[in-house]
Amino acid sequence: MRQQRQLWLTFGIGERLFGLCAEHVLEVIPFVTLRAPPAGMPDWMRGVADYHGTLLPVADLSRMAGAPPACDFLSTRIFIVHPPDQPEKMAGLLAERATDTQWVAAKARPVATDNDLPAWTTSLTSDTGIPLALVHLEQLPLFVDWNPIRKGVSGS
Amino acid sequence: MRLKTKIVLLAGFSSVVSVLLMLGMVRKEAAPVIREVHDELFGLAKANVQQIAVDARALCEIAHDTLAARLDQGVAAASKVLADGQPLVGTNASSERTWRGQAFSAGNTADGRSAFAAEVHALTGLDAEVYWLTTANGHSAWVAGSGAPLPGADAEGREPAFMARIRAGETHRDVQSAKGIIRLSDYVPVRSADQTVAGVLRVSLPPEPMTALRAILMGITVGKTGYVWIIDGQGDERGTYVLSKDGAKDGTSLWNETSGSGHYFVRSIISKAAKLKGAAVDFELYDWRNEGETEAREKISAFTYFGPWDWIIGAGTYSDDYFDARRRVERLMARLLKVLGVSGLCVFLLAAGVAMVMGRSMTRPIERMAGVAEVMAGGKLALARKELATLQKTRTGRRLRFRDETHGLAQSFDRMVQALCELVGNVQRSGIQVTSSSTTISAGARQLEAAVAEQAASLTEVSATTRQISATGQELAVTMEGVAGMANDTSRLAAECQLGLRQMEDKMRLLMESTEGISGKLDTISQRTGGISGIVTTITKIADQTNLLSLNAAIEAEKAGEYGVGFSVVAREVRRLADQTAVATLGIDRMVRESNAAVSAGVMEMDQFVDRVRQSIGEAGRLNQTMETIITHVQELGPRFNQALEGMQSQSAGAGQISQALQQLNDAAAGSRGALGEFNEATRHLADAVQRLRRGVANFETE
Repeated sequence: MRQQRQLWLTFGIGERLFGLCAEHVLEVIPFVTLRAPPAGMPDWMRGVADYHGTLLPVADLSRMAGAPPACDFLSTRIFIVHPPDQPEKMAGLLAERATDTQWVAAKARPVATDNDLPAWTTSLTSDTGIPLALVHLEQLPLFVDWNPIRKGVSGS
Repeated sequence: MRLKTKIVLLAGFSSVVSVLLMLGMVRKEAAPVIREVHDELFGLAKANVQQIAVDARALCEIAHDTLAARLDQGVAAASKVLADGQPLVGTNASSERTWRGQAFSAGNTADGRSAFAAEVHALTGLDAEVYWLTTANGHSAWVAGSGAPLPGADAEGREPAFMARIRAGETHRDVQSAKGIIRLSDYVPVRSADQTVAGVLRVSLPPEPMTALRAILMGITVGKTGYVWIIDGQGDERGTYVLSKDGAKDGTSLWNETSGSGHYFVRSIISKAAKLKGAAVDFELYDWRNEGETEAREKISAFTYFGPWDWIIGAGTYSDDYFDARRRVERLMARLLKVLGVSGLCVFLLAAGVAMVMGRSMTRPIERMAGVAEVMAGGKLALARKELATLQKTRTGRRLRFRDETHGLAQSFDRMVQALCELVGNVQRSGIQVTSSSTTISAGARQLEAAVAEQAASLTEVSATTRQISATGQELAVTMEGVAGMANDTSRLAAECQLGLRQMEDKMRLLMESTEGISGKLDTISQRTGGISGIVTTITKIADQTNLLSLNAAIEAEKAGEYGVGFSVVAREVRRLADQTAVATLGIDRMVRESNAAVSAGVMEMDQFVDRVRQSIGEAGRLNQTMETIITHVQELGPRFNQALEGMQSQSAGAGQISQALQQLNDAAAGSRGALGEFNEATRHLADAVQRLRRGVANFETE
């Protein structure tokens, strides 16, 4: 059963539904008050969160996908994630409508890619037939440019 | 009708009315004037004929007096002659013929007169006779000497009545008047020596045809064609012409003459004359036709009665002679009317002409103004301003000549058009603003209404959800049972689960206690006046936290691998409920009526829930004994499950609060919808009014 399907935590950008693999999500926390991001950071950087004493950079997935910044809703939450096999790159991802989960078959094949989708996603269909854009964490600009960001956060 | 025409008509009307009034008054006054003239003329005619009649009578009196004087002289002379003779003696018959027979014998003279008569005739030219009075054959007198009877005796020789007075010693004057011939005679008693009346002396004037008098009277002309007439008044010859016009019909009897209407006017004259005393005058009006005249003419005569001669002396004149003046007055009046008519026409034409010229000068500027006003009425304000400007130029050029009200009117028009332009511009701009505002308001109101409707719809869901929450407790218990079953199946993991179950049991007890207090809380909740938003926010936060917990629980369950599968189902259900709660709190139910029922139902469901929980506790206790082996495996699960239970507890409490608050919220929603309906209506009216205003204003062209 485990090998057959994966649990995806969903969030929304605009009308689209995106998914984060639960395997790489440590915890979902409310949209807590963040410290201001260090100077010179990309615009999708929303700030710095104190996660159990560890300062984590928090990136705005909406902004990263080119959409307007995520609003301060109750459903807007922060995913504490790290890329697969890179537990040291722990960071917060801010997203709207982070309230649900979806099961996706492990053997699910990507469907026709939507040009509007960000490059770091793959379009799939959930078990219940809902179109889902799965996020490849390691391809996120946050983790691609991890070192300067980490440095900036640590320095702040 | 144009103003100019009105002015001309007014002038013409006033002049015509005045002329007509004048004509009417003259016409009305003409009749009395003519009547007055007529009366005056008639009076004049009457006075004239009266005077002439009186004068004619006076002439007759004079003539009569002349005759009487002559007769008196004759009587005196005869008496003297008689006295010179022998006195009269005896009364016997023998002496009768000889009594101064020589003097009284007939035929003594050549002309057949007695010597006495001849002497008297020679002296006076009058006839004188002496009659012997006898008693033979009754009272009769005989001419002395001749034996002829006294004139006036009847056929049987009886003497006239006046002889009685003679015998008594009085004198008598006899007047014979027949066919215009007057004869006066005096009878004087002759006394004998013994002073007895023995005879009578009769002195007579010769029959007098009164030629001179007639000529005089005939020569009198009354008016133009009138004349003096005389008819006999009494006796056998009454009604006979004594004097006619030119003497043509003298001696003709008029007794049977009638006027055209059959009136015997001659008889009327005679009967009236008989009643006249002295020189009194009376009048008669009749139609009379003279010889040689084709038709009778109206005639008025004044007449008086001259008794001594038994004459009715009249003076007549024809009305038309006098009323010729009246006809002239009438002709003058007619001519006056004609002149008035012509002059009135002249006045009318003059007034109309002047009015036309004046009206033209007066109305031309006003017509121009009217044209401008017409342009303004058509909304072409810019064109009106242009025309006013040109008009002002021409007005300015003629300012010296026409500095009247129309100039001021033109200036006022100009100012008015300017003000109107500004006003219309402002209104147009304001109209656009108001329209957009009203559209915005309307859209906002519709959105608001939709939101309220949505709230109402959502309320239904909340109500259902509230019940569902309670029902979910049952589902949850069932699920717990499933969990317990699963725990049995995975007895190896029971030990891990035991701790969680124990904690769950405790929480359930807490839940049970809380649930038992819900009924009391419901009463206190009903007293609360706090806003629903806080509660909803709280619920939403709780739902949010529950959702968050369930998410994390799902993550943990995913990471727990196969052991977490069951729990992940639970977590998903919890999340589903939390999501439904969160969605539900976004809406508002309108079902007021069900609120109380929902509350009580909620209480009942809570009771059932408590029962179920109690059962669950029992089952959990049993599970606890059998699932000790898996407790250790679910130890990580325990704290999170406890948190979920806490959420459930809070959720249950919140559900009660929602049920109570729904009623208040529904009231507010109903009020809001009503108010929104009115607001929408008002907005529509505003929009309509603005549209009408814009349409009205759009008619004006200010540029």
